[in-house]
Amino acid sequence: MLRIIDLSKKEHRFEEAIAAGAKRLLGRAEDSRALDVESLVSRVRATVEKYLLKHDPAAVPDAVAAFIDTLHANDLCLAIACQRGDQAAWSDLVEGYGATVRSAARSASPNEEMAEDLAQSIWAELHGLKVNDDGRASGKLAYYSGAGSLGGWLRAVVGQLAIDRHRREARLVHTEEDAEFDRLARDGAIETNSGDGFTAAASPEEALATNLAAKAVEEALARALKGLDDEDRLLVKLYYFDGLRLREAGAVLGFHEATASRRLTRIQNDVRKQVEKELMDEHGWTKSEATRSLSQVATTLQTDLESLLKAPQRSLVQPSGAEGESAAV
Amino acid sequence: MSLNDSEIDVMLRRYAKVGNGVNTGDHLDADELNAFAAGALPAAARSHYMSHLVDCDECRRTVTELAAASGRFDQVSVPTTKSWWQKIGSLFAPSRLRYAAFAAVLIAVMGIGYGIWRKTHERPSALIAQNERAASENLRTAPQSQPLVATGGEASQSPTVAKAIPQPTPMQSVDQKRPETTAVSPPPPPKEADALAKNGRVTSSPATEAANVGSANAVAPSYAPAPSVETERADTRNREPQNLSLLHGPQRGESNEKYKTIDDRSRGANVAKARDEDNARVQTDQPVAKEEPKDEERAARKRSESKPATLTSRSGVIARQEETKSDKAGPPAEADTRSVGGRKFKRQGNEWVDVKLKPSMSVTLISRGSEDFEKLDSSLRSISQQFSGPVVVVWKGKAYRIQ
Repeated sequence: MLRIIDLSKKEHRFEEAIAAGAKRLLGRAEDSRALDVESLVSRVRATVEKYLLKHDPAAVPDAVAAFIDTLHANDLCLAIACQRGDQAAWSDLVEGYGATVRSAARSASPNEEMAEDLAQSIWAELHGLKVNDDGRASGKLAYYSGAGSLGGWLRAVVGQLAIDRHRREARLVHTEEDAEFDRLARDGAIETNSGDGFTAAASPEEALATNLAAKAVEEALARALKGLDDEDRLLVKLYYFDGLRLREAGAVLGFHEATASRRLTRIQNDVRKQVEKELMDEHGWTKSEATRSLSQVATTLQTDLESLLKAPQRSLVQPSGAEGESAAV
Repeated sequence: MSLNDSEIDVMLRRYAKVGNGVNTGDHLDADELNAFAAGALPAAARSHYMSHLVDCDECRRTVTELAAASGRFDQVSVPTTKSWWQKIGSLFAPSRLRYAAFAAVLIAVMGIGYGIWRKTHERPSALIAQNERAASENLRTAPQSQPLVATGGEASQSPTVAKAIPQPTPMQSVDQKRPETTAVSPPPPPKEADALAKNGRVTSSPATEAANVGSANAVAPSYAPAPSVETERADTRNREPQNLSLLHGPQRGESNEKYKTIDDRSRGANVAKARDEDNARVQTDQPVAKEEPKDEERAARKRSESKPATLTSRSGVIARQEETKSDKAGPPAEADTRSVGGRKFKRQGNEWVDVKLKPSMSVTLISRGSEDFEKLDSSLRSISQQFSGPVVVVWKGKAYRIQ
């Protein structure tokens, strides 16, 4: 009974914090679009639950208030006004974000015609083709929370819509690119397992030993990468897998290039230690053996990388990283 | 990066090719992607979405595109190059100035403290010669007031003695004023001093000397007997009433003639006339100077006949005061003790001896300007140079006779 009372008290405090936050948000908006606090509270409450309370149940009302104060007041009022059928708001939306939508559509489309088609369909998606019980259209604008700019959200919507279209088309046609992708990946896996493409071993025994060592190192590397925390793994993914520069990878994660560089160096050291530890623990190698095997496999992989880069056909991964410095985006 | 790092770098690139990411079934919605790319998520939500982005290539790619489109790539890596003026301005930023101000205050406090310490520990001019005669003279003059009062008392008690004093009133006034006059007035011109000395020698007689010495010993037994030179001076002081009377103008029964000549002489000195004129005046003054000894002889005879104790004691006091006057005006070599470089020296004959000298010490003879002298400590040399004649200095347990 007491717990129920406590929960109700806590919910009451959160409701008060949300209402007060919505009031402040309306006050921060340059153009409130004739909205009242009540029309904002439900949207703000949904945003708080989605991004704060769902992931941090122990959050206090002060954290709720602080989070609400970070929401984009103007954009949220514009989105809510459009959702409520405010024609002036719609005009402002199209006028203010038409160029953004077209730009995003061009980026996600292979040609101008498809880009224009995509851009036109976005407005329909935003407005909504279906009508709710209250007689209003349920468009995608209802999902805008204000936890980011409206322009960025529109770009994300355009991108997702483009991916959906691509998926629908992909079900029908297996693209040449994907086929090439799969072939290279399969070849790579075979090469890794067999070792034929990696080394020019002097004898079958040596080749076998080298391939075994390479496999052991690769498995240890995979486990070491899995042992990293999410942020480090994401940095590794952005830098090594997506081919972003350090500056770009750091920007995605929200820190400076220098920080990204230092962190990547630390990750490399951690991975090396973990790989050597795995090799010593699992295979009974000595420290020097583990280090030597690591160096040998790395040399082999380096040779393989260079041969892949020299290949005329399009490789699995674009030239990237330290040498390539080419952004995948 | 080191070689080891490059090895891991190569392996990670290879692993990126082979072990590609997993496309999960569920993806982040547009609002989540946008919020993550904008960095607008709370920490817990951000961590949650990050774990998805690690494994979802599609969402990660979208986030990367959104971040690039929003200009975050440029925002984060905006070069922070500053102009020269900004760099100079940053040197005087309040955040830095507070440390500079603290350092300045600290340095100032240390400087002031050092100055105070130097002042408190600094020896007051240790190498400058100081004549201690003045201090000893003060010790002498302090008890002198007692004999003076005693003489005054005796004078009042015995009218005969008072009568015997030829000019008691000016003498008393001169005695009272003398310390001030000796302190302020410059030494008399050498010509007058010579004349006075001549007069003293002329008028002094053995009987008077004996009487003066005896009376001085009788009145002030605590002091050592005056040296012979001082005794002679004391005799000269016996004639001082007459000399002083010259300064104070004509007394009863004296003619104005001699004052005329003295006035002329002083006027002549002040105006600085031609030398021959001055010599002529000196010649004309001689008869007057010859007359004075006659008067002095008569007065001395009267005084010696009556032998008044008060007079002799008074003359002794005058002698000492005059001695003080001459000491202050004269060279410091006449002092008995001197303090040089924080050491005290007594005069023994014509040499000055350090008071720390013990009979058991062996004295090293060093002559000024010699090589041995140059090898001495600079402080010791400086002390020895304060003396013109031979001096015995005890320095670091050794005695040196420097001459």
